[in-house]
This record gives sequence, C-alpha cells and structure tokens, in this order.
Amino acid sequence: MASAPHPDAELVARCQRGDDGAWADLVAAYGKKVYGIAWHMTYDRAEAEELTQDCFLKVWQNLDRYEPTEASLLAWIAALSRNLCIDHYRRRRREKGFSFLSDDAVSTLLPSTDDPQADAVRRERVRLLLDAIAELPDELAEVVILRDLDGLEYREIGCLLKLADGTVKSRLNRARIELARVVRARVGAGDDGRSLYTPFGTRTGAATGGAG
Amino acid sequence: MTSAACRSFEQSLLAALDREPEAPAAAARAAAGGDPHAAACAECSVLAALVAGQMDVFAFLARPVPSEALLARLLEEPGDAETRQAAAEVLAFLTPGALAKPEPSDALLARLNGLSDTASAAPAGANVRRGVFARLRPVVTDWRFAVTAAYAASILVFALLRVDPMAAARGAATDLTAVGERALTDARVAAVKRVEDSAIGRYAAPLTKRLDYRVYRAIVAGRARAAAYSQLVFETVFGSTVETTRTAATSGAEPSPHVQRS
Repeated sequence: MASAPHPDAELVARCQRGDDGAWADLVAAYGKKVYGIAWHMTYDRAEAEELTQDCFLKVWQNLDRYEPTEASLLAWIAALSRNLCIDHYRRRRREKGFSFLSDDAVSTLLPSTDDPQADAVRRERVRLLLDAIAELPDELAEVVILRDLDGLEYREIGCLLKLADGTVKSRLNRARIELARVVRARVGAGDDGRSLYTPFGTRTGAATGGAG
Repeated sequence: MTSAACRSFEQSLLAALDREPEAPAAAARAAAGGDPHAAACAECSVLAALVAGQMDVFAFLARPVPSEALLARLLEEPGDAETRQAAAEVLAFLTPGALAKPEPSDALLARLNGLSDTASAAPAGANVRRGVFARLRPVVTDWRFAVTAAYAASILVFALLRVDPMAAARGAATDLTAVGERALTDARVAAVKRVEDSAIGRYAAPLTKRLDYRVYRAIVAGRARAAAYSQLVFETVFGSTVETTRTAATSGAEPSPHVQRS
C-alpha cells in the first residue's frame, strides 16, 4: 500500500511546479517565524527584513535539495535562516560602534501604554534582561531566544537544533536559571531583586501586536 | 556561597520547571513557596523570584511581526522561476533513487559465474601456491614486517659473529673520535700556516718578519752609509773626529735567524 506523501514534501513539490498558491502557503506558514528568528538575532527591523528576504530567496533556490525524510520543512528553513543570521551577526560584531540593543528594538517589544513612567521602567528592565541573555553561552541563549522570545514549540526547537525534546527542555530550564543568576549579578548584592520585574505584573500569555 | 542545600533547591527548581513547561513562572513560585530552604535562604528565594519574574517579562513582550510590505515582497516569485520550472525535469534526476542503477547484462553475469568453474578446473597445487602467496603478501609488504626482519637479521649476525654490539659501537665511536681529532689538528696547523703566509698574516707580523731580509740589510747598510758620510762632512766642517757611527751601527736589532732567508 502506498503511503501518503509527506505534507512538507507535497508543499515543496507544488512550489517546484510553479504553483503560486503553494509558495504563498509556505510564506504564510514560515514567514513570521523566520522573521522572528532574524529579528531576535539582529534586534533591528530593517536588517531582520533583509535577512528574511535572503532566507526565502535561499529557500527558493534550494527547494530541489530539500529532503523531507531528513528534516521537517520548518527545521530546514529555520536552519537556513539561523545560519544566515549567525553570519550576519558575526559581521556586525566586527563593525565599529556596534550597539547590541537599540532603543527602537526595545520599543518594538514593548508597545507604549498610558503610563510613561511605568513604560520607562519596563524598558530598562527589558534591556537588562536582553543584555543578560547576550551574556549567556550561545547554546543556552539560543534556546531561551527560540522558546521564550520567538515562541517556537519544543519539537520545533528540537528539529532546528537536532536535539531531543527532553534535552531542549532541560537545557531551556538550565538557561532560565543561569539567566536569573546573570541578572542577579548585574543588579548587585545590595538589591534583593524581588521587585525587579514588578512593573510587568504576573500576567501570563503572550502579548501580541507590535510594530514589527 | 552555594551550599549543598542551595544546590538541592536548584535541582528541585529545575524539576518544577520541567514538570510545568507551559507555566514556568507559576512553577518557580510554587517551588520556592513549598521549599523550607528557599524560605530561609535569601539567595535561593531571590533566584526563584527572578526566574518567575523573567518569565512574566517574556510573556509580556510582543512578538515582532513582519510588515505587510515584506510579506508582499516574499510572495513575489523570484525572477528565475520559469527557468527553474523548465529545468525541473533535469534537476529531478538529482533526487536520490530517481535514476535507475545500471544492471550488468545476463551475458556478463554468465561469464562471471563461469569463472568459478574455470578456477576449480585448474591444478590444485597452483591454487594452493597462489593462495599462500596471496595470504603472505599483505604481511610481507607491511613496513612493520620489514623493520622486524631487519632487527632479527642484525641480532642473528651479532650472535653468529659473537660480537657485542655495544662494544663494537663504542669502539667505532672511539675510532671515529680519534680520526676526527686528528683531522681537526691537521686542519688547525694548515690554517695557521695559511694565515701566516697570507697578506693579512704578513701585515700582522713584526716589521723584521714582514720585510724581506735583503731589504732589511739594505736599510741597515744605508743607515751605516749615511752615518759615514755625515762623519766625513763633520770632519771637513769642524776639523775633528766625531763619533757617530758606533751608535748608528748598533741601534737596530738583528732579525731572528729563522727569518734570515737570503
């Protein structure tokens, strides 16, 4: 009995046949995720858009090389995106005066509210947290960014990093504790740190929107 | 300082986060609330509070969304779409399994099968010889075998000649040293002689050695002649004998006999 074709393989085959709708489906399914990965690697809208475009161009050029039995389409696209972003990030770090986190980047993550004073405190805290992520070892920072900032599923992160789900979870939790430790060291022994994140409340669930 | 209790709490915090992957902030707070050590240890309670707080921040943050213009650009088909579509049939051959593997013809297979019959019909002795050689060949051609054989041959020769290899080596080394020392001495003597004979050697030697003895004698004779003439002049002018020749004749030192070559 012939097995049903893999949905990713079918989508890719339709794209290769020149099906406009298939390419639109692919962009709709993965465009936001690729953009999110690129944004959190660059913290810059223009650069993230450029990288996303480069990534999809590369996807288009290499569609015939995609092998559905080796990786999911998301993992394949995300790996392309990640490699592009890492190359770009290394180039940027060599540039003089490279600022890791701009005010515009923080504003993108934190839309303004009616309370400017609270907004200012929140931005300061977010900047502290993102700077602390940059201090983490790459393997820990990567999972925190992919899960807590990009919102990828454990399975997707596992496919992308070629790790088992359990490994992703344990690495992520270790990264979270290490991140708290870095923040604690930055805050200093004088402040007990309990009230550090008070302006954010205790709400759960991802906020949506943002300028992009 | 991180004590064993603090490490234990960290492990329980990790376990709580693992148990509640969808609500890590609540898990961290629950772990801190239910642990007596965390209630007593400021560092651990702050750590749990920070983990919970940062999860709140992550939940608060907006996800960056691509602009409509970017999505529209992504939807546009790249310029080489038609070319790729035209080449798709050829490119499809690159897919693993798309091309059939070349199969040998029946005639070739029959010939290959017939080889075993031909080989079995050959004399058994020849087969055995070929087999032994084939088995030994990888061993004989191995460099380790060559080194081992060389050592074995050397030991055998020493044993047959009843020569102590170390004594022979020491003797050879001593002979070589003596020969070398002799060669060095000869070379040193030759070099000294060559230097003395050279222009530099002659320049560095004393004046009486540098000049030819005949020149030396000419100079001394010239000086004596000059003294005699001066004495005659003095006698003519002053009308008396003046003793000048004695000092002039005895002032120069005679050269040593071994340089008197003429």
